[in-house]
Amino acid sequence: MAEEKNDTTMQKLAAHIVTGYDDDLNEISTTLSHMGGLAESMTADSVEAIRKRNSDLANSVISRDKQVNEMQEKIDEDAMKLLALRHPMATDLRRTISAIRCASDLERVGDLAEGIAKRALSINDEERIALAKGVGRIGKLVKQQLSGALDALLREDADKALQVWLSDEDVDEMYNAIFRELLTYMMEDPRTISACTSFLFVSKNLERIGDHATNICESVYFTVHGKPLINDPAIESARAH
Amino acid sequence: MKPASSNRRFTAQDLTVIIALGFITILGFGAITQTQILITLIIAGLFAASLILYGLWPVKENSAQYTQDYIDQSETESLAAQARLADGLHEAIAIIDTRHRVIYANPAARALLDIKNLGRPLSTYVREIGVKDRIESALNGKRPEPFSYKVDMPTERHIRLMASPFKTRDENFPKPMVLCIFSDITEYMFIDDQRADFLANASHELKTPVASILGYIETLQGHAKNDPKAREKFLNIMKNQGERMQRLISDLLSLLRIEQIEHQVPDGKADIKAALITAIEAVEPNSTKRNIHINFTPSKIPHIRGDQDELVQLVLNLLDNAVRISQPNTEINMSLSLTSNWQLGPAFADSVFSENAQSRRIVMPPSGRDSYIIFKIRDHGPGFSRDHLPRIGERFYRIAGDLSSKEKGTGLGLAIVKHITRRHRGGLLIKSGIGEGTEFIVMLPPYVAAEDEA
Repeated sequence: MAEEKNDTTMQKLAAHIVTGYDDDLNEISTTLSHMGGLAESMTADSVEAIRKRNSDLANSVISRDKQVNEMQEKIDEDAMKLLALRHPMATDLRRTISAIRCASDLERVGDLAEGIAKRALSINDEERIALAKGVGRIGKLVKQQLSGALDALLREDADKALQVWLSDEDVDEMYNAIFRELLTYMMEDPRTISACTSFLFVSKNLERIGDHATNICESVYFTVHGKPLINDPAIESARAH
Repeated sequence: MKPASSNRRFTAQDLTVIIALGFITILGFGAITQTQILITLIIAGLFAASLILYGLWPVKENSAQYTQDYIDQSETESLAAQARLADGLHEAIAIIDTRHRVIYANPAARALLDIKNLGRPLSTYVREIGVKDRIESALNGKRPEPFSYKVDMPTERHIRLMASPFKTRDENFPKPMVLCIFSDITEYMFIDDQRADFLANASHELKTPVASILGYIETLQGHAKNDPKAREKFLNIMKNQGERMQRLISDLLSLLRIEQIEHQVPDGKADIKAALITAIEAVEPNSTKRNIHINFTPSKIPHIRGDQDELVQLVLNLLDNAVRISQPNTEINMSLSLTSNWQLGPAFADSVFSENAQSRRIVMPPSGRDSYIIFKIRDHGPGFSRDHLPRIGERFYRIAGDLSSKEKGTGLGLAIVKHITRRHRGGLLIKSGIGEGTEFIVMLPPYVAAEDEA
């Protein structure tokens, strides 16, 4: 009887430890999810601020950057605690490391979105110029890339991560197209140079947000497969076509 | 749970035992007279009564526990019935526990939020902070206001969440839970969100032919009034412009319709081979006139999970485009095949293109599926330069100075193809080289009877 009771106590204790560990991991992934959601909405809203010439929206994006930074600190702290106290192994270890990496990527995304919002404020001060459409297009694509990367991250879906990673080519291609377009405008009419330069920075920032999305995809791939994505021969053949 | 023996009801069975006991006592006393029998019976009755009183006699009782037991069973049954009920609902229902984990999701919720296994936090599927706040307040027993949010993948969707506190009567789950109802409100939002955009595009495109028709009418009313030759010519141009408007309007309407239902995956059976044959018949007059040969050998191919009309539209748009941009005396090659091991890399492995040709994924096929029906179409027209590739499929995007803007194109054909593919959860790839022509690959999921995935 006593032994039996002891047994259940041990089970409860073990369950408690596992639950605690699980909770810790879930806590990190939840913060990561909200941080991702915030970075996504900042990216979308910063582009929207340019398209709709909405300076209030731009200001709200700028004010949100602080939250992203705080979340990164929280993830770093939680992950460090988890590493120190629970000594995660294998997938859990990779998951924790990748959380730290993704948090720093998302923090950069927040900064870049803030940069776009600041440009939006200066663009909105000037005359309306018919360039916002191209920026809207690359903005939409980059937002999709970021959402895809975050979906892959939270669901730990390596196939999805790979897909998003491969689609980054499109962002680069579109960035080049916008770059050429802006150059033509500037050569045609030098009065547009200051606005065009702002648009150039905005597109560059968006392109870099796309790069951070691919970084996140690489982390996901590493978490799931335990090997880096870039050296995988399967990728080369997928890219070769 | 069995009722405890001390809480039983007094039954006829018990009475028999008492009477038997009485007789034993009678025998014990060796009594014969009626009075003695009566007295012994009373003694035996009193004895039994005292036993009952002291709780030593098993008596059946209509106790609270007995009812409780009955309710527990019915509650389990009713919970199971509720779960079955929720499984059949079209609304997406999920239950969230105190630790924000999804502990139940009906098939509609699994499809809407793309939930693969239960027990993970809701934040895995929904990143909005607003959602977390609503769940938190519902866990505290409040009824939060409905909350709407937007997702981009796999197609643009608007989802509304209604969260309310939820408790079962099951003692194993004493903690509060949250019942979440997610509704897809894309259709309603779409009307608000994109109508303005759509109208702006449409009116701009319709302005040109209308202006041209009005111009010719004025000329006909004025100095060309009595010139039969000019009149004939102008009327012809007006007819062409009118037809162009007609095509534009019908394309716009079908694009609008497909965009509105894009978030609903079609669940019917569609025959792509029949669609191809219909499309070939439709373009035949045009292709024979310009001596363009269409190569297609029909073979047996499984059905597609899709909508037949949309499939015809998809194939026809691609084929019509191909015929229009092809030079006379060239050929168009089409093929259908089934693959069970789809890989992106070797997609264009069989195609003949030079080094300069570029490929692009217009619609990325969704991950997690590797069996597809592949439709390939290759023309030998002028091809696209790489600058244009990223913008193929964008509505009203026409390449300046190409044949299509002078001729019949509305700039919507490929946009329609793109949206149909997206709705079918398929893929659309393009490879093109200047002077080499263009190849499109459409990947569509095959029809599987009673498919249980979304």
